[in-house]
Amino acid sequence: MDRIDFVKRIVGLGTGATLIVISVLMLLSGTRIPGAYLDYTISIGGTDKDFQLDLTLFIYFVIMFIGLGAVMVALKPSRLPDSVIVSYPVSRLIAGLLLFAMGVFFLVEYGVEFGGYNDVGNWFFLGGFSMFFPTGAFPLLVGAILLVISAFTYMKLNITRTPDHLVIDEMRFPRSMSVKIPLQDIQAMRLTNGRTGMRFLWVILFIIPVYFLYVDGFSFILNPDLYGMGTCGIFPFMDGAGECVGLAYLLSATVQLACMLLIVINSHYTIEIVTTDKLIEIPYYPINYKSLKRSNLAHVLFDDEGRGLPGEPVASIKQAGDVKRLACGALFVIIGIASRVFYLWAGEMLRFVLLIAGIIIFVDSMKNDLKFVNSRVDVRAIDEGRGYLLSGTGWLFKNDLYFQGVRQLSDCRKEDVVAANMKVQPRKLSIIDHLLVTAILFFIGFQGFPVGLLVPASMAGFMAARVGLVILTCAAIALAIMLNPVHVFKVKLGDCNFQVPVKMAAVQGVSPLVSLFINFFRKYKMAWQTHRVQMLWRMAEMAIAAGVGMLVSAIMLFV
Amino acid sequence: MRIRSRKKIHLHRIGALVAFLIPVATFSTIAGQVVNIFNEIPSFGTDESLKPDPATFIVANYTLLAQMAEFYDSRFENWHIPINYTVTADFTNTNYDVLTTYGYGFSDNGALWTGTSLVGFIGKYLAGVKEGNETLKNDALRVIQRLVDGMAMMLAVPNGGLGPEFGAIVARKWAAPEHKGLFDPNDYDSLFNPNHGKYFNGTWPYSQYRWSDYTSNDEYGGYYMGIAIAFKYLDEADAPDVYAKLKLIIDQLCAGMLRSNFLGIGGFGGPTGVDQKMRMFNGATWALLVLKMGALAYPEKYASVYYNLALENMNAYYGSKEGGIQEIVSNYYAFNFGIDMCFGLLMLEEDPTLLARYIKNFEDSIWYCVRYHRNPYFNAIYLAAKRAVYGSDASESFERDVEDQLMEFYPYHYPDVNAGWKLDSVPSSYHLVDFSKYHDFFENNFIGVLFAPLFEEFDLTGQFYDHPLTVKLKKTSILMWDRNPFEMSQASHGGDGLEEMPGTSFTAPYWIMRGIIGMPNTGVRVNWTG
Repeated sequence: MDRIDFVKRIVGLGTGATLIVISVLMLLSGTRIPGAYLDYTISIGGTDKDFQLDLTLFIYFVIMFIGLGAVMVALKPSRLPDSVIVSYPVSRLIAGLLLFAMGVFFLVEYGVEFGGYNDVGNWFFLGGFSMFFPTGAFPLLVGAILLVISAFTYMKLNITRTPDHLVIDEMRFPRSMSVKIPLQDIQAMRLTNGRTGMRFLWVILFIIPVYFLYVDGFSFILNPDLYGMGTCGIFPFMDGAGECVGLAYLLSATVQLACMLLIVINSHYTIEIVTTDKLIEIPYYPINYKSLKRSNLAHVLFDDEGRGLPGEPVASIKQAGDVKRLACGALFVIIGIASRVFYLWAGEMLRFVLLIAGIIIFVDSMKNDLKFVNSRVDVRAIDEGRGYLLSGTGWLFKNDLYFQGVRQLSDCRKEDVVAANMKVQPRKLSIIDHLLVTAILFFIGFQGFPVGLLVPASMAGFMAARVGLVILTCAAIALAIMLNPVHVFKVKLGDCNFQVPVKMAAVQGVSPLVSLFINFFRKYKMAWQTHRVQMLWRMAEMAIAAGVGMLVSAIMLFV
Repeated sequence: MRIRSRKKIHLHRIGALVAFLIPVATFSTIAGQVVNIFNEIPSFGTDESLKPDPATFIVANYTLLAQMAEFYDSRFENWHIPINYTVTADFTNTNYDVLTTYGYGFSDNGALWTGTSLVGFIGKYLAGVKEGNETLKNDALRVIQRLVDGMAMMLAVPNGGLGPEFGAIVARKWAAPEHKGLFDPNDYDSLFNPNHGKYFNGTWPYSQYRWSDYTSNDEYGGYYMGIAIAFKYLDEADAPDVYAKLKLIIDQLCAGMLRSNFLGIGGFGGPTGVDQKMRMFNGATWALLVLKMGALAYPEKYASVYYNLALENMNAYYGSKEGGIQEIVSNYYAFNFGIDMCFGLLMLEEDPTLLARYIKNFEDSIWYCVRYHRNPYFNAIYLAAKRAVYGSDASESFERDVEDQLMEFYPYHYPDVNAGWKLDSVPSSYHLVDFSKYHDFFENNFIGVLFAPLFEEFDLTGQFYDHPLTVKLKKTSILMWDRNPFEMSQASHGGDGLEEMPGTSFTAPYWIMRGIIGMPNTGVRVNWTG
């Protein structure tokens, strides 16, 4: 770090800290900034009332965030790079545009009034908010935020290999970064677009309005006689205000659902580099065909686009399509929807968890478990087996790996490197998997407790329908997700481990279907033999979650 | 790009957490301050110092109370249900036997007041049954029949008929073409004003009828309570037609509300904004009560749905948790219809575990807010919900409170008219609550200015006493108990003494006490120790 850079950092740090302290002090003092407000009027029941939107709080928060930003920038090195891969989150832009446009449409159509009588309807309380609020306000807000974020997420990424280093230059607003990694320090690299990560939070954010809009929308649309014949508003082919509102609800819900799926399915690429002492992650969204073509480790490491790679091919890993998690996810969603339609099985809290878990598991499975993702992974030995490059040949979702100087691999014969590192084990779970399954079991216990305790004997059928059909089914699915044994090629590097699913060899002398069944149970048996403690812990985790759910429920009921 | 040291990865996570927590903690502090003020402003209405001293209570004269009840009931039957729902009546003289032209006061809360009246007469019916008094029972049944007819029409007129195939819109009030002469044509709110955006023609066979729309939860609350209590206590053998009609109404309410997902629908065909689903663990009572009625009347149709809502959806954990302390300085009437809802649910539920939960919720929420408000209607409901038996030690102080307030009706509100000159003056020990520091907060503090809209319903310019006005200090109304007892304006000494209220302010608590709790009908309180 040169002296100028050091001075810049000190100045940034000082400025940032000062701004944070000032903003906190001003917030605590309660002092208004003169003139920093907007006057507005709300018509309540026909009477206009004047209010002020005081911007002081926002200004203090902006100061605080600027301070935090300054501190963060000061703590990071920066350097302008050249550009090779162009990154822009186009799915976020499209979702933002769709949501924003829909929000504006409903804003214009319904306005923002509340109070008084109108021919369309009100929301939230008697004579309450206009229909813009349930249909357009949330999309408008989220769309605007997405558009603002999209405006600042353009990035250029240049990865250059010198004889001794891998140089990564990243140029993005508001700062650029450059890092130089000694090649000899690199232990592993992964390039994938199959990980959704924190983007799954969008499911939690969207599922609530989408669910409520669909429920109310369908109740309006499917019961036209209930609502009489009012004026029609935006959909002239509809008969009554209820149907028009219903259609608006369904339109809003569908657009929001589509945007949510667009955001979570079209995930970003990530290059992970594991060195002896650092973990480097570079997320990006290739925006054009060239950038997409460059998004593979062969290009990143060897500047190759399919020609003249160093080393030699040593094996080819075949993966069987695994649809178990896909089916589990779909089943959760179906149970969630059916529970509302038939007033059975699940209450609202469990229903939300089932819908959230179902969508997340379905999407994650689609990206990682299906055959078209990793139908074949070519393994290439580099430098006589000191390094290995694993290139996925699947389309849409990609998973490339590179290892260098890893003794677990370099100690093997090149020809045996795959066979020697394959094993059956319970599926590696992310923190999200644990959270989802724990939440499902918790809420099964939570809502199951009063059902078991308070349903009268005359409702035995009710009990059977719930316990037999759903609670046990959901628990069984959750168990399957937790214990699901997989046959993988696995490389472990301290606290990081890398896995590639591998198709298990068919059992000789039997039909493929029988072989499938035999292998299915064999995998459970093998996983149990080698990972018994881990599997027991996972079962215990589920049992504890359900038990805690029941306990909390009992406390709430009796205390 | 994110670069983390593999050895110090936990430090990165701690740093990110701290950066996240700074604004969160700041915002939480602000939110805490706002919540604190929200609870602080109306706290004068829940203070322990308001607990009444039983030594000051009037000794109950049950014979006098029974005579008063008979008088109010007689007036009610003759003058306050011209088209079978509760109205006020304006007379030309103090004999109260000649109405003025257009003398009926058709409240826009007709469904609510009729439900309350119905509860009173169900109590009277129960008293007749318990006391073996056939005259009392038949007197009650005669009025119950009329009130149930009126309430059935509140459902039939907007929706086109009675039965599960029709919607569940409840009219605030209704009238047939032949009733047009009862409504003042000059009154802006006249039901027959064709240009009024709130009133609609009925549906199908009732297309020439008129009804009042934008039905609020006030109406639904009173309506549900009346139907629930009537269905619970009315013996089918005593009034088979009424019982059958109640069942049909319940079927319609359940089916219609399930179809609309418990949203209130207006005559224009769209949602009015009324929502009876549990929101943020509040308001669970509405759907619970509707489906509980359904589960009792039609177990094969609604029991499963009820248990789904009550147990799997866990509404039962939040049943009877209604209201909020803010209503003490904003919409006091919300306590009344909230308690109506709770009363219905508390009386219908017989499972001891659920009942205990409901009573706990009730005591922690709405009852905490109103327990010292000297409100005999609320107190009587509380005793009934607790399944209190008259004379037990646990309920004695509340019984005496109710009796004291009922005794104060005589002579101040006997008959139930607004004759301000009869009222006592507000004692000098009553002081006005000082809101000046809150005015300053909402005008000069940026947090106060920013969050002022949340406090819009707080009547900080109003004048509130620090003690509740008792019966002899305040004016009457169609139901005295939904008016704010702290409000200075309730101590009005105006009124010409000619507008008669339906007497429900007295009869509803009285008959609950006598019919459900078992209060005597003759003599005086013998175990008086005050």
